[in-house]
Amino acid sequence: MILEVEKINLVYRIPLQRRTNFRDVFTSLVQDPMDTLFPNADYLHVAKDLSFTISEGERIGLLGVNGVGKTSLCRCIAGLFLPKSGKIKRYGPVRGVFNTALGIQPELTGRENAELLAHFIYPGTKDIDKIIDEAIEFSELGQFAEAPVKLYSNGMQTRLCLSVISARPTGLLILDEVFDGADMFFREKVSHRVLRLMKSSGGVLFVSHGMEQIKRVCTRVLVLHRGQIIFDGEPQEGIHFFENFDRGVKGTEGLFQFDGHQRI
Amino acid sequence: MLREQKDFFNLMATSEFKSLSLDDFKLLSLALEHRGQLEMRVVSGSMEPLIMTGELITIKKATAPLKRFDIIVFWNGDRLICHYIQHINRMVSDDAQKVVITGGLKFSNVDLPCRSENILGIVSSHALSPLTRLKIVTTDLWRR
Repeated sequence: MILEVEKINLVYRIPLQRRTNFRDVFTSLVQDPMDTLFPNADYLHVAKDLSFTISEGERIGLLGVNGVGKTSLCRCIAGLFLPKSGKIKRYGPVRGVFNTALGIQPELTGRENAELLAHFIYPGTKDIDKIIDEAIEFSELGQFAEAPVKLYSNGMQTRLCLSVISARPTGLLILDEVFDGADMFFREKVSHRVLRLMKSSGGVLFVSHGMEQIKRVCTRVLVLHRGQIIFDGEPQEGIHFFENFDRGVKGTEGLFQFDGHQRI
Repeated sequence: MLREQKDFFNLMATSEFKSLSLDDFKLLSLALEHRGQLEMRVVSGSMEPLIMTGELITIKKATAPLKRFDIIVFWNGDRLICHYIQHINRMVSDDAQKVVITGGLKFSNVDLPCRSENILGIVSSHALSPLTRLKIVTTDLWRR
């Protein structure tokens, strides 16, 4: 077991900007003076008593509609947020990738950026030159490695970042929609590499909206809905479940049915 | 028979009932609707200066819409809790349900958001004094 999540609750405080002009302030003063003079923020309950475990060698795909709490959960696991209640037990290092453009200096070349990233991710490692050479070779950037990153396309930047990140094994790798820039061939290549890393150690928590990708990479799928896990099982079934369940999206009632046939 | 029932509902609110299931909560809710009011004993001191440990409170079904500073009894998933309302969500709702933020008097932190279907009723025997309300409002300002 590398991760144990026990009944975590995540709550956001959202100070909504409700009144912008004098007229609104006046009407709200008349309606509810207490709330106008001493405003209070709304609270959003993102994760409700979530609990699951990740054992060694598992690749988990997180599915869910926008705003359901996928990224919040990942950040919680990575240690960026503190949950309001509940426990997260990490057995080993956790490496989370939330943004492939983080720490990238546009004026520097690809190789220099890779060096920065490598020093950032693997502090104190002796064979950092080896990591960088290997990563640049893996990313297939070729002669572009010596060009400034500001000239790169989005996909090239993603390639560079992913190559450095997946160079050495880790306990748990969190990939939060990082493949959006990369093309399908490189995705496959990275997933092969992640697979190879998996054999040495750890698991992967993978957030993506690409169903094909999840089908190919993951061994288990979690579907989040309204802060709760409503499905936990095989990827094939999970994707089928996710594509066919009623997400409460307005205007699609009756479009998605549970019998497996989409009626349009 | 009636006395036994009353004892049963009193028991549910004390520490001898470690956790309250959803069915129990629904049963209590039905009982409250049927009788009009319930008496319960408070077992913890989270509302301490106002409601002491071991004090009896009277619960009634909410007829008017809930307001800030109302003292309510709600079910938080495994037990009943008696706290006051700190805030009622205006914009953010959970599948068209009103979401209520509650807190205790003893500690300044707030509870997890509570959906209005989990609210049992309003405490009619106790109310927050204007001074306490002012104190709460000022501490809220300071917290921000």
